[in-house]
Amino acid sequence: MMAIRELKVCLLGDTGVGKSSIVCRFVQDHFDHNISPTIGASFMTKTVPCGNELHKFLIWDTAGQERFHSLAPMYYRGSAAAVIVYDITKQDSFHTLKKWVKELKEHGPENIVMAIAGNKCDLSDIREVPLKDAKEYAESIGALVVETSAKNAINIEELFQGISRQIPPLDPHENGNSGGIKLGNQSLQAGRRCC
Amino acid sequence: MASLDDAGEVREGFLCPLCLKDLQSFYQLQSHYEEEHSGDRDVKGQIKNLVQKARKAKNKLLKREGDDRVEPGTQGYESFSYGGVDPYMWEPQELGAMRSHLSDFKKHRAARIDHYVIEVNKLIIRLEKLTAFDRTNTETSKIRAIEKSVVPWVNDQDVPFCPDCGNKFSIRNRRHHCRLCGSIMCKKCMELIGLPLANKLTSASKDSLSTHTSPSQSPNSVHGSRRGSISSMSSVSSVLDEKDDERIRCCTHCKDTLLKREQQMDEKEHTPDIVKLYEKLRLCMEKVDQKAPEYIRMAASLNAGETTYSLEHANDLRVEVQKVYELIDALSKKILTLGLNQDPSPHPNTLRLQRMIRYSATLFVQEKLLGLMSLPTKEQFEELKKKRKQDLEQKRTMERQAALESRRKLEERQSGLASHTANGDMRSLQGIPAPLRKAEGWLPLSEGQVQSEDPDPLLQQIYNITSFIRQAKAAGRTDEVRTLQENLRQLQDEYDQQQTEKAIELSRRQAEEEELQREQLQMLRQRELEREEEQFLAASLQTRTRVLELREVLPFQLEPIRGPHTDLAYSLDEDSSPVQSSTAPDILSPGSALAPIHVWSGSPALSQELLLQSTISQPSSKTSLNPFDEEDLSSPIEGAVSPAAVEAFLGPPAAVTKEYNPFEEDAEEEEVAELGAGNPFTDPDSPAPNPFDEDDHPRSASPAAPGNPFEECPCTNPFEVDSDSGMEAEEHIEEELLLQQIDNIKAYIFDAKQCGRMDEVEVLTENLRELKCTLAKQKGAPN
Repeated sequence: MMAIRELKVCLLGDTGVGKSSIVCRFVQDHFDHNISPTIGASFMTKTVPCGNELHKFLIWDTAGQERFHSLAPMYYRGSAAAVIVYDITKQDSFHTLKKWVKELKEHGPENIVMAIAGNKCDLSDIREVPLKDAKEYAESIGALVVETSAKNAINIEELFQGISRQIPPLDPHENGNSGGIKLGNQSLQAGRRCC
Repeated sequence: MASLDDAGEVREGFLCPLCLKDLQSFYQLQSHYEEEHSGDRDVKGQIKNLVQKARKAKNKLLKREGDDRVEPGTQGYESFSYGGVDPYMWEPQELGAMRSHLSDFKKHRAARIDHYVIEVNKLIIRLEKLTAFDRTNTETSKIRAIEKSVVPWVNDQDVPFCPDCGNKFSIRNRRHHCRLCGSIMCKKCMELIGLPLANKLTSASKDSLSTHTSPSQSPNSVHGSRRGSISSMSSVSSVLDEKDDERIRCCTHCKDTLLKREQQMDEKEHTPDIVKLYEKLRLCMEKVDQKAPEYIRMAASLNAGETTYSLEHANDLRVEVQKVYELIDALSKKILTLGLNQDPSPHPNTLRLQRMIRYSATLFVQEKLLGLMSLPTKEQFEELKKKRKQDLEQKRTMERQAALESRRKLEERQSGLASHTANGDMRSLQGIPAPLRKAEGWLPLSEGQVQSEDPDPLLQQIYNITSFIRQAKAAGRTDEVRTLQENLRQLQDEYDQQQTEKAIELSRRQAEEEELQREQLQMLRQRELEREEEQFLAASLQTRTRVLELREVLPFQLEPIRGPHTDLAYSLDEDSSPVQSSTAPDILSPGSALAPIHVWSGSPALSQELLLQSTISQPSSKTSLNPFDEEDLSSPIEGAVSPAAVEAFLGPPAAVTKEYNPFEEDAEEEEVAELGAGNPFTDPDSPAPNPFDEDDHPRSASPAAPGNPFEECPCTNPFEVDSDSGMEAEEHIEEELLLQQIDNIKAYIFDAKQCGRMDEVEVLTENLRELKCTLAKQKGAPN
């Protein structure tokens, strides 16, 4: 039997950047041209293989409108990963992305894995946010960065695969019984975390 | 955690992240999360702490193992939460329950106030009873009886010690009763209330005193004991007792209460000195506000030389106002210095208030005094009166002159004829000063005959109003005088408007007459031009006399060149530099250059000349292609130079002739075509000498130019010179008329601007522009 890990993933970002479209493309491989704004939050799940494990993503797609801002902490609290989405054709959405990153660093989980997604890369002809700027910012905060297109299914799978690889693995010796062995395992665990 | 059986299903809404319930609304979701999952947060927080501090003691590890066993479903879930420690997630707290204690406060306060009022009123009522009779002339025993009846006295046996100082009562230390509350006290602790204080306290309620109760008899034992004590003392003590009867005995508590009452009364009735002084100050200021305007009006009238007010009355009013100002100054000084000499210095705010009052009073006095004008002395006043009389006389004389001029105008209009231009000029000239005089001011005439003879109804009404004004002034009715003066102004304005409208109409009529004259002049010119054409035809026929005729015509051509200089000088009086620049090329340029200069002026006649010249040049270019023809015609060209020059200089007549003779032009074209056909040799022999001359016209134009100045000198035809001078005279007259009209319109504009009528200024300005354009066109025609 392969071990199943449940990973809570939260999507954050400005309204209209394509958070729900990314999730819909990932979970159902479907794109809706007339999608309506999300109310509150939406919940979907998908299980994907990753090495020797199965990763079950519990995906919380939050509403990007300002009036639902105070609900976001409920969903990113306790998340293993957060995908902050911006629209490459809107400079303002990149500014909003920086605000979300700042909030996650201040109030979010300590070991959360952050991934930055620049959606709508199929509209490069009207781009406002250069890829160079996004990469530089992602490096400065130690985050994963990809440009995606939910419409054309570009880099959606790669985004979640990257998250799976970034997630630190569980310690198999966690359930040891002897005291001496436990101490040794703890030191190993700490070492791995440092890595 | 809830099981996630329906993983494939997509749910959206206000979902709880922990139990996946849809709570339907924003606030319900928040409240649910806070209430239901606060425990979960604590548990997860503990788990997180354990993970972070894995190196700690075994006990914590054991607890963690226990947690894992209890919740096996959460082994693979790596979500952590901070719990309730994060201040960011603290919701804003609502205010707790509030209670209003205002009603309780009022209730308790009312009870205390009522108690106080009742006690004070009791004491005052008793005090009033004790002072209702004449205590000096009443026997001591009666006083005692009355005092006991007012309030019951405490028994002596009940009070062995003084309640205030604790001393034991004895023969030496006797008991004394308070007359207001009946309590017992020793002599040391006893207080006395004098009659003045008692009267002050009871004066307010004396009116409400109803009946005086008769005293009741007191016990005999008390009287007996007191009499015994009195008899045992010496006469001095008896005297003291009598004095004591004039004052009322009371205890310390009762006196304190009464003193508080007195203090309250003093506070209510007392008015601070500053308030009294300030009220006086305000009264003085109001006086000044009433009287100063009257004085200002009187001073203005007297300084203007009027006799509406008397000089003495104005002086008296001025003195009165100045006294009030001095009083204001003194009062404000007192207010400023209040309390400065007292040992407890006043509060800083009080001093500041006093300074501000002084400051405002000072400003008031300065402003009002500056507004007061000085009165003229008696001598100055008499001089002003004389000046006023002189001014009135001058105005009357001016009015008479204006009336006379208006009569003359009317007579001239009736007798004058429109055909006489000189009369028209005179009218326009006379019209200029009329509005100026009216603008200066129209005053009534003293002669009644003039009024009756003047037929204009507005003027008659103006005379009537002026006479009314005189009557009102004599009667001393200033209100009516003002009303009549306003009416007079309105009438004058209407009269002025009518006069200006008439002047405008006259100017328009004159312009029309001038236009008619111009048309007549143009007709005359056309006739003269026709005569000249006939002469030219005769000249062309006579070959021998060509040279002589050219010499005669040249001075005629040169003289109109001088004409435009004078015309330009007239039309461009205001612009001297363009005149100089335009005259220089005329003088310096040769005769051939005159044609383009005239064309530049832009007149339609000149533009037609330009077109004709361009058509003439075309056949000349064709003929130039035949060098043989040029060589053959060398001698005839020289002979034809003079007639070509004549035609070139006489542009307008040439245009006229060509227009009238289209057949000749066609013939010329046919001849040119024949020449081009290929028979150059036969052409000069077969045609008559006339076609040679016509063909060579354009070629000879340029070589004729240098010969003009030489031929001018030998001019020997006085007849033609006389005719030229006549033409100039006529042109000069026409220009003079336009210039005069332009000057008139300028004068009208000046008058309208002075009177402030911008509408008329605009109309007149447009008229002026039209006249200037007409003048420019007229000067362009003879060129």
